[in-house]
Amino acid sequence: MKLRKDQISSVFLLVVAGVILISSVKASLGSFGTPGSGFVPFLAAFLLGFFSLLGLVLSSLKKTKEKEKTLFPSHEMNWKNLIMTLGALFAFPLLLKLLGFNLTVFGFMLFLAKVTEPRRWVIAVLFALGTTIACYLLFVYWLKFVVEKGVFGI
Amino acid sequence: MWDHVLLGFTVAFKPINLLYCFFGCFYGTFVGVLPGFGPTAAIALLLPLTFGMAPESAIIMLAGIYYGAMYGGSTTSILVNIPGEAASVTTTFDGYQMAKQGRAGSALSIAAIGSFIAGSLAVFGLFIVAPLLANFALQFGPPEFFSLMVLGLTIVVYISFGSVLKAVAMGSLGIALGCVGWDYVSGNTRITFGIEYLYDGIPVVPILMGLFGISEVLLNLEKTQKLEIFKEVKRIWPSLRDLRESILPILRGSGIGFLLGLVPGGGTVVSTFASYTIEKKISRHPERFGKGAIEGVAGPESANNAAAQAGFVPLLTLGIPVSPAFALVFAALLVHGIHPGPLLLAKTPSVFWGVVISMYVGNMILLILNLPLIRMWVKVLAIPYGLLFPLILIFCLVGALSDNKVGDVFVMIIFGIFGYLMKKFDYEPAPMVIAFILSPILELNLRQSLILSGGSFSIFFTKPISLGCLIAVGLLVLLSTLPKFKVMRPKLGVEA
Repeated sequence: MKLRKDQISSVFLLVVAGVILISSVKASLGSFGTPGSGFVPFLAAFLLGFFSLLGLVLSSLKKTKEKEKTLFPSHEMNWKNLIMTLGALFAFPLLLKLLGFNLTVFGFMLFLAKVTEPRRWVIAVLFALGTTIACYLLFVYWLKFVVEKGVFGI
Repeated sequence: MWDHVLLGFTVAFKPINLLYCFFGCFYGTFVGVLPGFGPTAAIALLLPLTFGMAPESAIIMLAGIYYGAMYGGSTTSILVNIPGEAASVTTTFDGYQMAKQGRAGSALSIAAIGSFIAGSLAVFGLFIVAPLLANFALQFGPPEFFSLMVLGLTIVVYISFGSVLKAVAMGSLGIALGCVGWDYVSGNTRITFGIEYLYDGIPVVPILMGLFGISEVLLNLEKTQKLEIFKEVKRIWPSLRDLRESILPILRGSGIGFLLGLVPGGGTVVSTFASYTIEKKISRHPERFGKGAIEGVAGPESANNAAAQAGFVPLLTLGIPVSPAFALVFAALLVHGIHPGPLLLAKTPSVFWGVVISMYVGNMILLILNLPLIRMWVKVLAIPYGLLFPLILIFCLVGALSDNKVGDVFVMIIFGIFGYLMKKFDYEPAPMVIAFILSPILELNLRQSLILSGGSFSIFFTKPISLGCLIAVGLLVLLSTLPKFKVMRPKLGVEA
């Protein structure tokens, strides 16, 4: 049986609500007169769970004649760009300590400039270099962000 | 009061604040012109830059970005038929048709002039309404604040696009997420799963940058679109006939925008649809609408600007952000140790009056930026997205590092993916964000009320203001079940 997108999202939110409910109870609910730490998150999670369950029931009962729009239509999706960008995003904080701020910014910009669209190396390198210098001047020099130097000390 | 106005002028005309105001307006217009990059994402991106500024300078700049984006949004709607941001959707109906008829210049100039008049009138409205509302709100205790916030959240849910169930679920999730970390009443932690990073709560800025910056980029990246742009903008100034036909829609749009801008969730998007509908309804030639009627541009463009500025009234006087963009301004104020609410006017008048006066200055700057420089903004539309999106991402990544915590970057990326999936599954981020921001205040007021009443919920029904708010909540819930209003709802929406 293929799940509809509303069913998938409702089940996910139900699980989230369950986790928050348990966590709130552990944090102590208190009483109405002296509400404890878990009182408000419990109420919020209860509402989340209730409405997700309602959503799940309604979407399961709904008989749709029309075909549901695909979440990720293959003819429209540019998977390569999406995955490369997500990879670069996760790599950024992981490489920061090792390579330091400037090298990581340069690598991130070069990677995205070169990988997501066909572009000449010279343009991609100049773009990455320009952005790195601008980021350094703006964030480190002007706004005094404390940044990692990395193993190369740059 | 005149002392305060004078104080406002002193603050707004400080060279550094003029510079920030100009920068905010310029950047806001730039962002408004770019399709697929809204004012909320733009504010989120620059939020970390404001941490080192004086509070009034920070808010002056952020406000400039917001109403600047309203000006800029019209350019894309008129020339490309794609709204630069959600509040410019209605401008595409007639603005693009005018461009096709060779009247792009008239449409652009009327949009700019209308925005200027509306913005200026809204500043005047702020002058009058904000102090009155702040004085009134001084009577509020915990039950009143709690009920008012429930009303605000209900309106946001009611106005959101799509399913009410999903909007309520998102609002509830926002409240729960806002409770993560220390409970400052009991000193316990909750929903932290033993992760030390979460003890201080989930940080606001990375969440907002993720939900509005990263998710927007991911959505735009998944498909490639080619834009057809009208690059020929011949005559910039409107004719006398254009002005004559536009003046009343501009004034009506300003009024509608200001009033709806005061309502949580009302904001810029709803006001443009309301203005467009009214203009069409009272027009002697409604058949011209959708085919290049200048009133269809003048009214909504004025309305979104008036609403953009009116939203500062509930934010600064009641501490209620009416949309995610205002939630960001709210977060910026908190970072600077300023708590928006009825006491803000008395405690930090320089912030309130400085921001109000700077809005008038900002409107003048925007008129100059948007009329003589219109051809420059047309060129901005030609910037390839392939170069723009890495810049947006690096700003988000480095901005999230402002506290030098790598965990903040991960939070931002996770919420970026979450925001992307929310849009894929037809969930709106606005109810979650507003609930998340309001959560600590909502919780505090609910708990204080219950402690005061010894655990009785009747406290919310015995105070007249609180009762009034709850009756309004009940009416909205009732309205959302009526078929006629169910049909109306999907056309509206809180801007993101």
